[in-house]
Amino acid sequence: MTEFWKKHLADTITIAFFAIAGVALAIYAALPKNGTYDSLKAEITLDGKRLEKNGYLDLSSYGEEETEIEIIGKKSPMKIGVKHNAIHVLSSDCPSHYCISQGWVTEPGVPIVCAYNHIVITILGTSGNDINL
Amino acid sequence: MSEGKEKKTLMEEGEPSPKPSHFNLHKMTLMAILLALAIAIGYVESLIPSFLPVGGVKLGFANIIIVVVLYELGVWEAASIDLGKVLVVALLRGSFLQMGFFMSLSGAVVSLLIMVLLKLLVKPLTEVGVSAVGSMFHSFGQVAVGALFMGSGAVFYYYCYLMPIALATGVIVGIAANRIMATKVIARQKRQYGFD
Repeated sequence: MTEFWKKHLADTITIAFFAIAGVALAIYAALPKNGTYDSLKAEITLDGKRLEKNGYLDLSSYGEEETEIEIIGKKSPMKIGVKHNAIHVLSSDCPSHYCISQGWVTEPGVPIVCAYNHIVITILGTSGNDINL
Repeated sequence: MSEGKEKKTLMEEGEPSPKPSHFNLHKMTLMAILLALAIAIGYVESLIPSFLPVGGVKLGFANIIIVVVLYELGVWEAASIDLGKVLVVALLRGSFLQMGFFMSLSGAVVSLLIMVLLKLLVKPLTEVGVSAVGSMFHSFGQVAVGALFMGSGAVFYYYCYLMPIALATGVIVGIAANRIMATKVIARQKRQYGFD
């Protein structure tokens, strides 16, 4: 065991350093942005620009029944399902369907990414309500 | 007869050939074989479907070749094999100049850069540490290009999933490279044909 540590101590320290830095960055990127969970908005972007039609959805205004919305991606149209404070991808022409298998997303900060259509769907919390009186 | 005897002793003592030239046929052949191996591993891996709800997760065992070449032959040799592998695998898969190609290109460049830096600057590191950190940076480079293409930093969320896998496969790659170098298969060629 000591032989092992003599040989791989530097390895372990270096790997641990970069792993912790990577995890910190990932947690920072994944942290929900400021906001409350009761009125969520979804932003749908194509190549970083918000879509003109349906690019900004107030998820709290939808009821418990699912509403279908069609959006136009880079290569093909996609169908998106929306209900109260939740959003998911219903159908897409992409070969892998990762976005569909991800299912309903309800947390701010968790994105749905469709690499095929260059679409990113992010849930934003509403800011302004987070001041404790 | 005496000439042949002299040649034999030269080879046994392991001295480099009397006129070390820039172009060495043995080295070129060896590098071509290694490149072909890297391409074969990379292409077969790209046929395995991803087992995670995240695209582009691969085992990355082609990096065994890159790490071995980086240690045994040098930086430029490793860079040329790495870039050649990315190019040919992209052409075979039909993803040349598409997003997937740029993702693997940036992953390859970033991971090779960090591996060269670590190997040069942190002397006590072994292949295992170098390849594990290189593997983590490989997925970082891929995710960064993905974020650039989509214009959204939210793509970095997937780095949470990719990083632990990259760490595990990087350690496996490092151990495999260590085992290959322990057989001295390339070191023997280098000594016999006088190149480095």
